[in-house]
Amino acid sequence: MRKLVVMILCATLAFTQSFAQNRTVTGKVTDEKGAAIAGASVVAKSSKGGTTTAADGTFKLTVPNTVKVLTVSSLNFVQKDITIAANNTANASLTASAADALDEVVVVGYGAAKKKSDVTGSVVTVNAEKLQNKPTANMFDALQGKVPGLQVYNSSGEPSATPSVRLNGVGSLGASSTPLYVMDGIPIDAGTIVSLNPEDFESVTVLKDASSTSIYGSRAANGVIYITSKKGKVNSSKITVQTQYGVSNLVKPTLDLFNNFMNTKQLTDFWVATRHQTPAQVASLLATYNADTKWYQQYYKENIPTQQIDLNISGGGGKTTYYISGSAFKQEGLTYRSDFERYTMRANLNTTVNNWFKLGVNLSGGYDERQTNPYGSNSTNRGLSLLRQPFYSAYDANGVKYPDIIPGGNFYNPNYLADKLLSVGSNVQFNPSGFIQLNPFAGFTLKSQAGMEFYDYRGSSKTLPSFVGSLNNGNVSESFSRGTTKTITNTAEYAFKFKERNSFTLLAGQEFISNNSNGFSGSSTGQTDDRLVLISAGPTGFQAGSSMDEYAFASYFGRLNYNLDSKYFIDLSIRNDQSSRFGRALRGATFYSAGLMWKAKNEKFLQNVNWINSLVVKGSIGTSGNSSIGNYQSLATVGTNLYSSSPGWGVSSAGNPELSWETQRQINIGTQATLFNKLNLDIEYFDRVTSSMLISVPFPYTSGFSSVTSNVGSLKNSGFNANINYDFIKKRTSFLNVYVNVGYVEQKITELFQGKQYWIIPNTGVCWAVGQPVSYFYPIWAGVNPANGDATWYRPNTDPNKIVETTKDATTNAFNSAGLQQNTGIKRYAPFNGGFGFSAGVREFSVSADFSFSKGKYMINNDRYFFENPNQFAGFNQSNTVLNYWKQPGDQARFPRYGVQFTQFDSRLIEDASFVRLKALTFAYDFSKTLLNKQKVLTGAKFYVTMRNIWTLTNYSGPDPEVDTNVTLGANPNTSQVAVGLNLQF
Amino acid sequence: MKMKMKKLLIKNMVAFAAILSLGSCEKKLDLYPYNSIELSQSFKTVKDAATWNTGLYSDFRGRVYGSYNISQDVQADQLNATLDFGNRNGNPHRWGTSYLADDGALSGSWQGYYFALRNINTCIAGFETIKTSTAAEATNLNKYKGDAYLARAYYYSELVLRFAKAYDKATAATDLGVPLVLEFNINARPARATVQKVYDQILSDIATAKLNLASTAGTPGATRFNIDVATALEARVRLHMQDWTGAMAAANTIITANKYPLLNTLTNLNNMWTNDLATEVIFNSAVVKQTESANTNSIYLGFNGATGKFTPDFIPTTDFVNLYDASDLRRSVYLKQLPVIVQGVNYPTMWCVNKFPGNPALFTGAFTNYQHAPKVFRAAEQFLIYAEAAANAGGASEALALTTLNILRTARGLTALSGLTGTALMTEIRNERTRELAFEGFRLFDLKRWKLGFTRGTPQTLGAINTTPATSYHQINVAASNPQFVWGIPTYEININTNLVQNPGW
Repeated sequence: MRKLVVMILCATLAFTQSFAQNRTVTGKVTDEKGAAIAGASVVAKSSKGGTTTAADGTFKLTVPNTVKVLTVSSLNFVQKDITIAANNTANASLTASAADALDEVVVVGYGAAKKKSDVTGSVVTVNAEKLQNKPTANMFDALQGKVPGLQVYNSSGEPSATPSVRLNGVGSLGASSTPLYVMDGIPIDAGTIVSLNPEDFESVTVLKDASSTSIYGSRAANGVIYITSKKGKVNSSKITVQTQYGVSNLVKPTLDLFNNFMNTKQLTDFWVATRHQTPAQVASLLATYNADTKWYQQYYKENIPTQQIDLNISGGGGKTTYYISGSAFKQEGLTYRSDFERYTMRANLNTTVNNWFKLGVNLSGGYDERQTNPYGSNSTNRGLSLLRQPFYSAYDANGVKYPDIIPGGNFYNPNYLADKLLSVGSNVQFNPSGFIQLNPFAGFTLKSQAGMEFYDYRGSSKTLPSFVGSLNNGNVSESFSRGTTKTITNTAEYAFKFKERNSFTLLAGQEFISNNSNGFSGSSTGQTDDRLVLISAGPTGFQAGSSMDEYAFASYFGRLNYNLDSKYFIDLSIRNDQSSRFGRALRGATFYSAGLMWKAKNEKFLQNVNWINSLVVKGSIGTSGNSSIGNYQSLATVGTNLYSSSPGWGVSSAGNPELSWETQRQINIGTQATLFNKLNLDIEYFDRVTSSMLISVPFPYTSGFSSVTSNVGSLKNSGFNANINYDFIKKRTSFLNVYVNVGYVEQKITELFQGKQYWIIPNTGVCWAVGQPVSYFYPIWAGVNPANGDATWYRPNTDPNKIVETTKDATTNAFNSAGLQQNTGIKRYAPFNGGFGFSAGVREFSVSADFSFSKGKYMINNDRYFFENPNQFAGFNQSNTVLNYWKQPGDQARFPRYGVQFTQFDSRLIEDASFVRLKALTFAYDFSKTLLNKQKVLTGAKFYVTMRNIWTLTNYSGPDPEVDTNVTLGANPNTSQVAVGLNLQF
Repeated sequence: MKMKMKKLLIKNMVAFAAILSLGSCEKKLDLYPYNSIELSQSFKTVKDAATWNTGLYSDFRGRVYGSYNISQDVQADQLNATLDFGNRNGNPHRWGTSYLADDGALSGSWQGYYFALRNINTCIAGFETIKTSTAAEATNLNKYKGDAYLARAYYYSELVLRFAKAYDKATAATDLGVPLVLEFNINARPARATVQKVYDQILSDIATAKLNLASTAGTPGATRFNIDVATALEARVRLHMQDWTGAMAAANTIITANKYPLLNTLTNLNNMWTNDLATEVIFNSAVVKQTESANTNSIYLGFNGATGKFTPDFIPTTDFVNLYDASDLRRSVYLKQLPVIVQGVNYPTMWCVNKFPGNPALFTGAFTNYQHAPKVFRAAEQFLIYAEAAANAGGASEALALTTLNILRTARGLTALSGLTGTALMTEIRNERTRELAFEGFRLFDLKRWKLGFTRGTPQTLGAINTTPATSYHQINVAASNPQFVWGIPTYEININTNLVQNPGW
């Protein structure tokens, strides 16, 4: 019996023991402040099994008794090991990961977000704070100078303008060089950005090398800019209200140019001196018109307001998070009929339905109204308004503005034109996207995402019947255009480990993108009453038109990520793309990439080197494509025209059945390091080779077409990008960080078309020559001959085949725009671009300054052809520089003798437009701590003053050096803003 | 529980696969434009041919008037640039180093004609592939062929007029003309054919056209080609070729048919140039208010509806105004004294060119849009061709020349001349041609043909015009030998097509 008892006891014990091998651990994961962290991963260290925390941060996990330690991790927090307490509980308080870029999470291509430090590709993320609270509608403005290698230029002071963006140089001579924009996984158009609210963005990530972009295959050759919108956090509800008010004004160098025009006395004296008019003629003129008007003050306004308000509410409970926002933005330009007004709304919802099913929906919508000043390049109603003669006045003797026409000058008051000729565009923007995600078993994720970019744009223009230029004969037109781009993406991803040390992530996917844009328009004329200006009120001239355009892409892709011990990383990707734009047999192309990374700091021999906090070396090679040309260009087509009210036909396109992808091979090698816990370095070398470029190849007119888009030539861009930032002070109550970004590009054309060694693009001043960067080829100015006042130019190389080799050994006084053009040695594209700045703070005060710069930027200042050409534009006002002309033998003058054309299209007009611009200067006072301790409603409050473009350093003599073009004429210059703002959080 | 989960998973996977397949439809990549059709599909029926034929006229209308007249008229001797002309058309006006081979004034017409020839050549080849099923269809198709050949002849006659020396029998076989492109081939890089070859082709195309248009009778104000248009072009071309008898014969066909009687009252002449009265018009392009417009010769008025004043780019010289007798009906139709404002200075009675004031029936607004039905062939020109050819033929023909000249003179309100022969006769014929066809694009090429240089005429008032430098503007002196009478081959063309040879002096 005793034996039996012992046996049973033993058996029970054994049984019990076998059960007692596991224990259930409960606990809670919180942040430093004690707020629950939902969705944190809790896994048993050195064993299988794991779970995630519930919405309240709690978890329950059954682990073997042998497990003593749990590893807790969560996005944006530092991973932590916690020991299981004796009572089977384990509570963890995680610290937020430092703002250190190396620990951010980025989306690289498709699939799950990754820790940035695990990405082999060249990736730069700009966080929300850098993009927000700016007195400008377009988020990209704030990216200027922030990302090495990313060149952002604002070509216009129009509040609705879209900046031009390029990454690591100009990748194609023919097709677009604009990067691919992706918002939350859905490609969007660059022009859409202005319709979106920058406050809605969590971050903007720039993917620069093949390893990170090849997975996007089509259209990724110019890099990818990935925008992530904000999401709510579980148990962290926030209400944020932000308001801002500011004013816009003209600043230098625009004002320098505008004030350099002649006044009445200077101009009339000049006329007499040059015998353009006799003293008697001038006297008779001045007897009638004797004002001294600075006309730019009539064409550009002062202290024009800009306002914005943004409200967002985010949070989450249980398994669902939300982010909801609304915003209003209004900015007027300084010119008449220049305006932008935007209203947006966004709702981002994410929910975990159960442990294998998640879904999310992002809805972003908005409405904006925009007006742009229509009087640009060749119009004296703004672009060339400086030519207006100062002796005419905008005001009558009593100081009252002339209502419509300026007497004598016989031109319209700009505000009269603005009042009578209306043109307003309004845009409805809708960007919905949604995904479902299935996790059938650990590590395996199926994701299906669908999204759409939709716009509906309406342009309304009217000539009011009361307009004296066409009295009682109004003109009304309405045009509608609508575009939808639908994207469907399906991916399967499997992440697993092999023998602990080897981590694999496999991804396979498919994507289909289809676009349809269409429009129609209608108009009528003959309206007679300003109050009745609908199309239907016009008795005559009914006209209608319509248009339709489509394209589609179908793609398949795969990727393998592997790392060994988190030290050695390999990424491989492949993608096949098919585009409707190319010839049927040639529409497909396959792109690949391979990336390697070594995290040296994780090696044993560096772990004890304390001054090195992190050291990474990476390299990648890969290909990507460009299809940014118009639709249907592979087809020879017949278009329609009209004669005697019957439709007729004519050949509209020569077509090119051979048309196919432009491809690019890119190599990047770089290193990132954090040293002394203060200095961050990120340096990379890149080499891009573009071949089969989609160029509009010139054909002789006798062929019937001036150009046919073809795959020809090759181009190489290489250079380096560097980011250095240094924390001089990094304390709890004070900080000072200084940064510098530089991107350098060297461009070389390696092959052209039709066996040509060079091709000067007519009327652009720009030449493509093999072995050279894209350069300015122009007649080269040799100065004014002091003996006789002749204008002289250097003759080009006598051997027409060596026009690239400039000799400057002989001069001529006979101008010939085509005959004298030769290599000026000036590059079309600025090799150096970047930015620098600092941020500093002491307790509640902070200040930050961001400068951007461009070095080696040149453009042809076509304005000067009008402003410094008194023979050609006799009778108009001119820049006072023209006073320096040759008068007698021996004169060392800027301009030749009167009678010889002062200004020709020659190298004098190619100006150095390098600049340093203070993009943003912000002073902020954060009174959340001091004031807010006394009440519980507000949790955050900040007051700030921010300024944009208030200071520019440049030698450029035109209105604005930042304009991105080869020839600038009548640019609407960038303006400056000073704004105050208040951000409150509840 | 586990089973259920698995089932659900499988269900989901199937749904997922369905979504996958949804996206992968290859056919969605075969996309075609909505505003055009494939060239290969466009020559199936006679109806297709009719549509191409309509397109030909639309192209043609785009290649008459506007810059196709202005570029050469501002270069000639009859106009001064006002101070408000803003350098528009300034380069040909100043000649010399202002006017270069890359100027739009000359490349525009080169490009325009060759682009139109692309469509013509496509038609000529395409029409051959169309099968007709009825006699009516065959007749129509023949007419379309005739139109195509006639248009090709017209374009080449205009090209050779601009870009080659005037026809000279002695040197035509070696003088460089323009490239002869007779089929649409995007990859062709043709060299310049000789002047003789170009004219041979023009005559051959006119002959083919006449054959195919034989049964299409002419009618005043025709807006489509017919046998009279072909004959009128032939007369013009043969005059250029100094084929005096040929030119006389062709012009005489039109004159004797008397289908296009010359207008002889002020009202009618005014109606012709204001309201497009078509009595003496052999061909004018159709213009439809609002929807179909032509190029305009709008540089002569610059009407500002708000002030009721005119600010022309170019005004006629006093010498030109004085070319018209007081009794000349044309003096108050082609010219008009108008309130002009230039640089803020008023000139209440400045003479302006009023030949193209705009047809009120075509206005789309309260004020003129300078729209007209462009008059490409007029009977008056045929009288002048006949007279000039006959005078050149000499002998007994001189009397015929004078008779014909007098028909035109008397119709226009001038007295008949008598007893003129030789140089005196020729001078009168040339002056009459200058008066009658002024600003219709003839003058510069007539001077070239006649081998005459010029000094630009005395201006109306120095204060209103550009005068610096005088030798580029109002006092410009151009020798008959000036190479810029022959326009340069566009620089662009020379750069792309290395088989081309540039004209001297460019």
